[in-house]
Amino acid sequence: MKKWYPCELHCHTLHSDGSFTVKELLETAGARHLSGICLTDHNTVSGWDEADLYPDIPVLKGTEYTTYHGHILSLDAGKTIDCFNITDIDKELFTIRESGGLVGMAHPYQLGTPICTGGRWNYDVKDFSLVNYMEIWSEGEMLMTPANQRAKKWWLSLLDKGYRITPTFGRDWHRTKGNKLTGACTLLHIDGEITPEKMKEAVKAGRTQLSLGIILDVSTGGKSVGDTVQNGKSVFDISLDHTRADLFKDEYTLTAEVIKVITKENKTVYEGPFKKGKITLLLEKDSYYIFELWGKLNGEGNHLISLLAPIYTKK
Amino acid sequence: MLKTLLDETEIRLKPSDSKNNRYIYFNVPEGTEKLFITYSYSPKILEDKEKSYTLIRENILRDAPEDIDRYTDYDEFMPLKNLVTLSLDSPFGFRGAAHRHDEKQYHEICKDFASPGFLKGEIFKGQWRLSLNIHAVVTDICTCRIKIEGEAEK
Repeated sequence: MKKWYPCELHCHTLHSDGSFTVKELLETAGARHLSGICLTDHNTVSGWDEADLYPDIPVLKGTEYTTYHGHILSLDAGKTIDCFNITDIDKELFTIRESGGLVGMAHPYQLGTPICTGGRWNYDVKDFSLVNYMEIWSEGEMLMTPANQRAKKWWLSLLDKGYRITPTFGRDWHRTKGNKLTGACTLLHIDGEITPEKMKEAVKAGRTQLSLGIILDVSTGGKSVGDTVQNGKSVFDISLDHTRADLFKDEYTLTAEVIKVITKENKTVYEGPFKKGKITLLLEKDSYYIFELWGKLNGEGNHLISLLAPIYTKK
Repeated sequence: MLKTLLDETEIRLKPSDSKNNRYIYFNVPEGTEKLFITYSYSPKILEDKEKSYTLIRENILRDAPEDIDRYTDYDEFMPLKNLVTLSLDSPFGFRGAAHRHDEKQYHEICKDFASPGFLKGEIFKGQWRLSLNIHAVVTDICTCRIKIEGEAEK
C-alpha cells in the first residue's frame, strides 16, 4: 500500500549559497513536516557526508550543476560532469544517467543572467529521454506565475511527444526568509517506509504529486500515478487528505473546489466540483491523464492546489 | 611552515568575460599537508541605477519577452551583482567548489578538514587548478585577487 510522503527535492546549505548548515536544513525540514529531502548544493557534493550524521530524515544526495546556460539537477550520481565546459548537453546528461543518477531540469523558465545567473534553461536537449524530471513548479503560488505556466506548457509538450518526464515542485530552498506557502512540496508515492532509495525510485517512476498542502489521491484498479493502464472506460477513485494542509492552516488556508483531468494537447477531459467518490473516464490509447485539484487560497481566487504526475495508457 | 604556492595574482574581468572560466594552475610540492586559498573580488554590486535598469530590461526581453509589461518593479532585482565563483581540481580530479556570493573568501583544505564546498583529503603533489567561474560581470571592470599558500610540517 503506497503512501504520500512530503519531500523537498531542491535544497541548498552553506556548502554553496544557502544559509542553512546541513543540520539546520534537516531540522527545518522536520519542523515543516517533511519526510525526506534532496540535498542539491550548487556544483559540489561536500555536504553529503554531513547529512549522514543526521539520519532522522532520509536525504537523497544530489547536486545542482549551476552552469552558464541552465541549472541541471543530478540525484545520486556523485560529481560526474565538468559543468563549466559543456558543449554537448546530451552527452553530459548521459554521463549522469550512466553513473546511475537521475537528471532533472531546475526552474527552466526562471529569468537568467544576470538576475539569476544561468537560471534560464538554454540548452538544446536532443533526447529528452535523458531527462527524468522537470521542476515545473517553483516556490509559492506557482502555476500562476508566467515562468511556471511556461514550464508546465513545455513539460506537457514533451509528454505529447511521448517522453515520460516526472513533474516536481522545487522550493529551491536556501533559507527560511521570504518563504511563501511553506507547506508546498513534492509528495512521493512510496510503498512502505521512506528511504533515499525509494525516493529516487519514486522520482524515476513518475510517482509524484505537487501540492500546496491538500493531498489528492487517485487510483483505478490498484494503479495510480506513474502507472500504465488499459485504454477504454476506466473508473477512478478520488479522495482528498487535508492532514498536511491543516498543519499550515494558521499561515494559509486551502479550499478544494474543482477536479480537472487533462490529457494530450492540454485538453481538459473532465472538470467538475470535487466530491469524494468515483469519476468515469473514457481513456484513449497511448495517452496520459493528469489530475488536478483547483480551489481557493485564503478564501479567494481559483488556484492550482495539487497536480498529480500522469497516469499513462498503453500503446 | 607556510609557503606561498601562488603569489597574490590580480585578474581583471570585463562583462564580455561572463559565462567563461579563467584557470590558475599552481604546483603543490611534496609534503604539503594543507592548502589555503585567499580570494576576493570587487566591486560586488553595480551602483549605476540606470545601467542596472537597462540590463534588467535586456534580461527580461531575452528570457521572457512576453512578460516585459508584467515586470513593473525592476528594483526587486536590484542590486545587480558580479558573481565569480571558485572551483578546485587536484591532479586526480574534483576537489570542490564555492558557489556563493561572498566577495571575500578564505578556504582551507587538508586531509581531515575542508571549508564548506570543498572536499577534504590528501593534498597530492603536482599541478592543481583553481578555476574562476565567471557567471556574470555587470560592472565595467571586476578585479579578482587570489593567493594560494601551502603548509608543510617541516
